[in-house]
Amino acid sequence: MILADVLMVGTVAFLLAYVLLCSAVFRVTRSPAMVIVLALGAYWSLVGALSILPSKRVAGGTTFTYMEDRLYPILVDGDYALTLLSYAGFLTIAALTVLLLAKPAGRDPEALGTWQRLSGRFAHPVLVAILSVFTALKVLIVGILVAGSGGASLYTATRTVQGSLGGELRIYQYLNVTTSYSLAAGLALWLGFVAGRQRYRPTARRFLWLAYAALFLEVMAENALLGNRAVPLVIMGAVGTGWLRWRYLPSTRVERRPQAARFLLLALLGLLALGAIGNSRGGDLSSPGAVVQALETSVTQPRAIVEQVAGSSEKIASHMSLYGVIRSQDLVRDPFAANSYQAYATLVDAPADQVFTVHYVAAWWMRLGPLGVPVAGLSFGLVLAVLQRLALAARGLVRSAFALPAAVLPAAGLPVIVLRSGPESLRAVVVELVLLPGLVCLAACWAGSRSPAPPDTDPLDATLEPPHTGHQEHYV
Amino acid sequence: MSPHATTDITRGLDALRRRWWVPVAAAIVGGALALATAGGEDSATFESVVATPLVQVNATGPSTVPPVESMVSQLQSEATAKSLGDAVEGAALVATMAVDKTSVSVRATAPTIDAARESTQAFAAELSELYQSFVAELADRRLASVDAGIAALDGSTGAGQPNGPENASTLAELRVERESLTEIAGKTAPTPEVRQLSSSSNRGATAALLALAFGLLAAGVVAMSGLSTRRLRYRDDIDGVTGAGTLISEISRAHGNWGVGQVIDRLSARGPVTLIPVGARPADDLRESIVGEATSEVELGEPFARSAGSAALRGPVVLVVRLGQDKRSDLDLAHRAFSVADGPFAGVIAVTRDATKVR
Repeated sequence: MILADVLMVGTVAFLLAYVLLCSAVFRVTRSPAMVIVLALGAYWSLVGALSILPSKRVAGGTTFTYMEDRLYPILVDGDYALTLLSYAGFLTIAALTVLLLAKPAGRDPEALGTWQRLSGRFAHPVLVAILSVFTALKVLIVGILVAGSGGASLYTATRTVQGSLGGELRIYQYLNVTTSYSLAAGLALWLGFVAGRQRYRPTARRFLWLAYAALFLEVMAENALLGNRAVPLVIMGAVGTGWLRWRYLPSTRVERRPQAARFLLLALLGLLALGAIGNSRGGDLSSPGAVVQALETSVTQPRAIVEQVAGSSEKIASHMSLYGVIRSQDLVRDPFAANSYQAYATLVDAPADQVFTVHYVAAWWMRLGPLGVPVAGLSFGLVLAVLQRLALAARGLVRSAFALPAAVLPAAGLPVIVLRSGPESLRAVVVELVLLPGLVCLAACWAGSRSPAPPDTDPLDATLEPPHTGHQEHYV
Repeated sequence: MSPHATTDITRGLDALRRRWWVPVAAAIVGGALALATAGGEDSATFESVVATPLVQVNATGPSTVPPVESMVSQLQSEATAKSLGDAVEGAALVATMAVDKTSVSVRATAPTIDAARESTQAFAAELSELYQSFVAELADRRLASVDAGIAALDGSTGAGQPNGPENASTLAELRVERESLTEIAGKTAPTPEVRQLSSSSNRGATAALLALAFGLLAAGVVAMSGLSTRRLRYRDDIDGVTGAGTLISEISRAHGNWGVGQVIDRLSARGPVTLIPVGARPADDLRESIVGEATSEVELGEPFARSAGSAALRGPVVLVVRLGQDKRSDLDLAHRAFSVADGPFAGVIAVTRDATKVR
């Protein structure tokens, strides 16, 4: 048995144990978002080892992936064993911190009722109106960015805030986050509660369905054009989480079966959409026409999409970053480094044309050395627990407005923002996942609390009627 | 989620407290397994960077690009491995050209540190030789031209000769170049420097990884097994079988046996009370704890499993459950047997594991 085999056994055993830990977290919090965050945490931390280690069993461990050729080779040695141990320690500490600090859902059996009441007074038309205005502005800026991208691919030209279009790009990023994440929060509530939809007249309901569909498709198209997979992933994760939490889990067993089939089909389509975006970016795709053509070609070749998703460098790029930091003999710890991405690029002498990822643990290691592992685990778990407590119930106008994004957005948003960056990303969690969408939702909550109920429905019936029977037994 | 008030976390933690040694043993096994299997000498990887710059043998002419790709493929050929023999036995080689092809990184991995170092040195020296041979060949070719030029100019540098001074100057330059070319052609390849890429020790981290993984996995399995409600462990478990409010008293180290006597005395208004253990008969000192306080008529019957509920009963029946030992299914059967058609079932007394110390 060579070292790669031993490490493989350790990694697989740990991932099995981690599944049990995640199951314990779900039993306590009853929150699909927490489990999705922890699962994606494992994806960006340890899952990369499952493809690295087998490749090192042949040719004396000298088979290297594309990322290794561009950055540095991974050798199955003591540093790599320490890398795996550090990720395992990070995930364990994060999950245990959530278990200790999260509020058990069973202590608040009325939580679902508060969300149901929120869905009954949330003004979806106001949200749609605000998002439409922001979207118009955003489309204008996208046009400017596309026109000014020069010969570079649209993906490369919009990756980093720099050059003459830096200002427009920064405004676009904030507008994109605000509209996309608010849309995800509103859509999750819209899909999660049948009673919340039924309080609108049929015409208004049809209009809202169309408006949400149009806004969703616009966001997908725009992010596909710029090669951005993260925002669509966050939206899909948020909508899926809301639906699971408010619709699927409270349903009866009989209701769940067809719901699960529909959900899995949509999740698969979402995954294929992300794969198609990944296949249609970068290179010489410097015009909208070229990107659209690449997307068309990509969609007609599902096999290529599956290969793209399965062979994506995403899990390896962040996984290998800690190894690069540990093996580096030039590491000078800087606890106050402002930009982890830049510090890592300098440390490993990354080529300027290579897009890569630095893992949250690697960023902490660059600051504190091995002590960074428990600090990373504790801080990540703490953020998760705080968001879980904020999102447990929707009580009061202001708290509800911020609880809504906190309930659904972290599912994919927290790993996307935090696990692929350093501690400086914690500010983005507050601003992007809670504050900005929370302010938009606040307007919708405020308008909803002031507007009279539709004349053809009794507001009490609409808001208090449980959408399904047997809610409480799942939440006790 | 469990429908009972005792949370899953409490059940899981209690299970871990009862069987704490299982995860500890699993962690030890994991660590030992790692030390046993990864405990030998580590395979190692060394690297040497061989410079392959452009070759300039003619001071005034253009530089020549060395055929680096061809050198690298020759280095990676089986013929080279054979010619290097024992020095590269069992070693895996990766040679990577720099983007501008002015250097080649030679990395070799071998089962031992010494073998890896030696094979990297051998491969790097071979590449260096190939490059040096190319340079020497170029220098030799240029040298032939220079020698021909010198021969042609040798007799035409006198003062009376046409272009004598210019020829003398050219001849001097050619002689200097010849000297330089001779030096280049005769140069031997430099001894390559190697450095270890892989870290040498992996035992501690590997053992810790497997210990953590095995220990955590075992802890998870033990905690999950604690969620099973096959055995009656908590008061809520009894309520779950016989209904809320049927637990009439509990005997434990913490609560003593307070209340048991009074409960039995109250029940005896309906006739002599029979205590029926759901599982095995309690130990003698525990029996004293249960029935000793009662002033009215009370009988400790045969365990339900043995009597099968056939005892002749004259009054209320109180079931005695040993928490942590008796099974939920036994309590369920006993409860059904004594409840049917307004049967004599009057409640349950729970006895904890530490209750034998109650006096």
